[in-house]
Amino acid sequence: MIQEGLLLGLSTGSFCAISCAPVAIPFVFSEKIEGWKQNAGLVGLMMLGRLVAYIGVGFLVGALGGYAVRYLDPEIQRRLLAVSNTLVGALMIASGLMHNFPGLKFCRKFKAVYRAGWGSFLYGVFTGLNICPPFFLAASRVFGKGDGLSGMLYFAMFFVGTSVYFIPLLGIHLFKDRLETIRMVARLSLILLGAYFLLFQGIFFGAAGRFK
Amino acid sequence: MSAKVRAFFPARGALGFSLPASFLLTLSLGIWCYMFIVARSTGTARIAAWIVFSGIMSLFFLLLRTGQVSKYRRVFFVAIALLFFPEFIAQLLETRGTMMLGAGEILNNDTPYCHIVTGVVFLPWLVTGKVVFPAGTGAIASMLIIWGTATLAIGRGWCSWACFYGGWDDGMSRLARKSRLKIGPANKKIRYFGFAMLAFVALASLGTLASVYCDWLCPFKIVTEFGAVDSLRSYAAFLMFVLLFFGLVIVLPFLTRKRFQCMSFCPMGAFQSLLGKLNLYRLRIDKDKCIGCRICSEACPTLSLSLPEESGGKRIPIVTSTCTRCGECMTACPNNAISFGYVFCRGKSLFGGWRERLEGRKGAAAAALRRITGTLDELLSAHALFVYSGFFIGMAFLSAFGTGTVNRLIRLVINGSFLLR
Amino acid sequence: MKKIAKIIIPLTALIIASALPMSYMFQGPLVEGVVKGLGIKVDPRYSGGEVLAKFLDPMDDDRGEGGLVYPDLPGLPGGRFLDVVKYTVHRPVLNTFEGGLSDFWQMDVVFSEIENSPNTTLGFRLPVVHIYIDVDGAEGGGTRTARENTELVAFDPAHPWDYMIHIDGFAGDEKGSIVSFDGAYERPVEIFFVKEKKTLYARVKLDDPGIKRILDGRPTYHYVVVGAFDPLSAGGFMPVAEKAGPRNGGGARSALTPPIYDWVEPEGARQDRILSSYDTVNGALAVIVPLEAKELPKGGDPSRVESANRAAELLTVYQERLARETAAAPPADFAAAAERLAAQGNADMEIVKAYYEAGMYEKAEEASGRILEAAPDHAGAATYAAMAIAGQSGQQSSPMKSLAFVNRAIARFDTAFPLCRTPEELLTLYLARGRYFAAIPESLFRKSAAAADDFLKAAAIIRRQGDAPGRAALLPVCYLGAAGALLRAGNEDEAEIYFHKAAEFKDLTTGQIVALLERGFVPTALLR
Repeated sequence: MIQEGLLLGLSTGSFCAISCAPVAIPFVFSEKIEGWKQNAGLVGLMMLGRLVAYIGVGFLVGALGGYAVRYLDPEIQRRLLAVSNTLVGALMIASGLMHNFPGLKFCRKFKAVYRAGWGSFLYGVFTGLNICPPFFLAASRVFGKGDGLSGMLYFAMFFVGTSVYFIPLLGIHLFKDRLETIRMVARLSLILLGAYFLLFQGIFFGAAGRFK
Repeated sequence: MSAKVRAFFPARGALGFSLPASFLLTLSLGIWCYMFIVARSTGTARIAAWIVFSGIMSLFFLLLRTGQVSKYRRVFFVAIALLFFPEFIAQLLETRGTMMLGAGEILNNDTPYCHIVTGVVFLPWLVTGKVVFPAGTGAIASMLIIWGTATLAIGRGWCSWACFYGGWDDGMSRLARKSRLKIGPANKKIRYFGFAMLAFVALASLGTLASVYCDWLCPFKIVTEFGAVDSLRSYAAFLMFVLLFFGLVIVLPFLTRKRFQCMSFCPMGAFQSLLGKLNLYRLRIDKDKCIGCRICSEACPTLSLSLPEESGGKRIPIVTSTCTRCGECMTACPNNAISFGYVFCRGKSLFGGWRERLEGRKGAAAAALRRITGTLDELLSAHALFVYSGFFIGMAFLSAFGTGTVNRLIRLVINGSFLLR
Repeated sequence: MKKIAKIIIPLTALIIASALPMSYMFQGPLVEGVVKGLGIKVDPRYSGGEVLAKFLDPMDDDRGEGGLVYPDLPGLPGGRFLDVVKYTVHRPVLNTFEGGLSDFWQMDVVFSEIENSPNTTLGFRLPVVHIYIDVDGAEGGGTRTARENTELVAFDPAHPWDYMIHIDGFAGDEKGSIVSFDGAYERPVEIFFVKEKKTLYARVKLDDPGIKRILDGRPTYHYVVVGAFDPLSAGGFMPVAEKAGPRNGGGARSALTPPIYDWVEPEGARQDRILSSYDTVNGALAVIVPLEAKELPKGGDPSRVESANRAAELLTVYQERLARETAAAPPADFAAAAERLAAQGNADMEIVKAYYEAGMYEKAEEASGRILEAAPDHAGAATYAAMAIAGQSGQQSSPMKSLAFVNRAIARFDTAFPLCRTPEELLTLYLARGRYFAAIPESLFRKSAAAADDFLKAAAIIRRQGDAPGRAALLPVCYLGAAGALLRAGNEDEAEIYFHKAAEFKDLTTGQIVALLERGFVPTALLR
């Protein structure tokens, strides 16, 4: 079980990294990172968020057992995905606006409550709920067990396997010289990507079930 | 050459070339132009080919002789854009019967592949090894070769000399005499927005393994081809294409006299800026001639001449990586302080030292050597080789589409039909 | 350092500027190099997903049990429209990211010819295709057809079908249908028909738990049958009788003859034997066996690997044979023959052909020009004039002159077409133009696809002529020519169909055998 989850994560984790990249990369680059500790802290909190999401799903799938078969149907998956995309899109737009237009009333209010730490954690949770095919494959292995705890364990190991692909994010502090320009670009792209996720991958996607 | 003969030709501009150099460069381009445009055509297409050939040769010669890079380049560049789309659309109507992309084209990986896709699908290709665009591998490779060699040759100059879309907003940005919406070089975010767009489309395409820019954001779909409009999704996408085209390509450039689409929206432009570092050419501002008037940075249509922080003394603009080598700053500069130069090379030209040694020496041989080295210096100068490369690449696109459009116009007059079959 | 840079950089710039025209001129080989070097592959989801299995079916076997003939439908042009040559099964596509492409499973059916009927939804009216699929082995399913007495066949009891896909040209909203064996599940199936490729694409949505079982990579079993469409008969298959009529096909030997014109048979099975294996005494229907679509082992399809190995073994033998035959053959003295004819004052096509065979293209052009002056609509002379100009393009010393001749030849071939009145004249023109287009540089002229088209049109003319003497030997020439041209155009999939067809012929020349073996195809006549 442990080995299987770990190996599945290692073999298919690049897929998870690909689907998380549009959120993780602009977010991490948009924050002011002075050294490796801050870098590691942000990435660590994001990973924690992903772990919480994975373990949560693992518990549910394991506990629901056979009932989960019906709910992890690709169509239903996408509707759930639409919800998490809407939330992550909204968060990205809010933080993007806050960075770029700090004078706006909404941005001032948002800045007062926003912290890079919990923002990082939330990004991790939302991207962790992104049900990509390897995730689905992992879930289908856990169906028949009918046991929430083993589901959590399986997904925790799956998480460890996929996390290997996020290691490059720990090297962001090395771009110190160019960081200001990159940060400006990342903050602008947060708004664009946020709008894309909110509208195209979130609202329209969820409303149409399948956007066609 | 006698004064009468010289008088026949335009006068040499401050950045212009001598007559021998202008002729030699034009002849050199002319040989390739003849081979790729004229030699391959027959019938009315040959008449069209000669028209296009003459146009290219005239513009190139005038650009070289007068040194007015931006003026003649723009005519050439706008012509590429305006001659491209009628032929492209006509070919679609003849083969497919419609501008709309059908399921067949997608199923058979037959969708035409344009250079903008490269910047969009680069990340997914790097990670997954697959191109997330339904084009044939031959078509992709073909465009990569053209674009790759062009990038090596002219870097981001692609955006002002070769791109068959750029002529639209370049032309629109020069229609109005005055800008109605002021956008100045101080606005860094607008210049860097293009990089944000690149990051957005590259990451979104990576995350969804689809070509997001082509699916939703390309303003040029309505002058080339677009997906079948038969569902809510496709209606929404089509509406976006129309709004983006009229907003970013027509209206904003007209109002601001800036190339909005190319400067702040096109992901390929930003991609070219990054890759353009590989290029051998740079825009040089002569610090001695520059008087710090900053007219060049106001004139730049892509806000690529940024101003350094105030520090006392004259503020000499800094040429950023987003410069498309369009030549507007050269024309605007009152002191001709701006020119094309080579990377790592400043100061004397290749044969400058030899000419200095020959200065003062009398005799026909010395005079001839001075002329020959002078001409060689001109021919091997950054200015000459850059504009030559730019025109060659633009001519390559005109050979494929330009003659086609002119041929169709001729046939329209003769037969009353724009389509050939 | 600066001094060196001042020399090297301008020279480098000069080299790059000079290399630009070269890259344009030699695009063809560069394109191949770039595709291989960068490993450019297009995401297979756009074309239906990665190919899981491809099945080639013999061409011209659209006779069912052996003697079936097409119905006498008014307005239907002559042709073989019920002949499937290839069936492809793709891997399922799961695309949970982008909403535009949804989750599906695609199957492709390629025909050798397709009629062009504009008043139908999909563009064709004659074929009806049923694809029966077993997704779960012997667990459950049907051994009878979806509708009783439709195709008059039974299915292998080891692989009873679970789903049946129905495709006909009149399908509403461009959709076929899929139904489960118990009728509990029925949905539309998205159908695409690409006329130029003569291919039907069927996309089955993955929304049924039964169908979703394929996601675990298990083998699936497919029965693909094609009949003549009759919208009024149950199941859509037009019945067959002894004599063909407007409402039935002909050539049936019994009441139990399946109205199936083509069945994609697995390797080793023979369509005519299996479809005629019904038992009229006991009323037992013919039993058909399925195609197995499964993941191949790492080395590839074992039967294909074996075939490729065998081809490699035979290649050396036949190459040596070809060398011996070429050396032994007496060189034909066409030049002397041409001069003899000229001396005799011959001014007709004989001397044109003689000059052409002798490589005296300029004289061939002049001679055909004289014929055309006297008879401007002489198709043969016009064809040979074009051929002579084409021949001259290869004799020029300068590339510019060659280019000019190529353009003239292309234009001249075009003008010869309206003059061709008989199939014979058209055949000569198609073969001549096809050979020429296949020979000129693809990177400059991009005529390989047109060459393939010409060869196939020539083949279609020959097939319509039936058993005309001397014609049969040209068919392998046409198919090999088409296959080679398709390969040059980058269309390996379609090329494979025609190499396969060429390999079926019995009396291939040594040169043709070598051409096939070089591509890994072993002629049927050489198979043990």
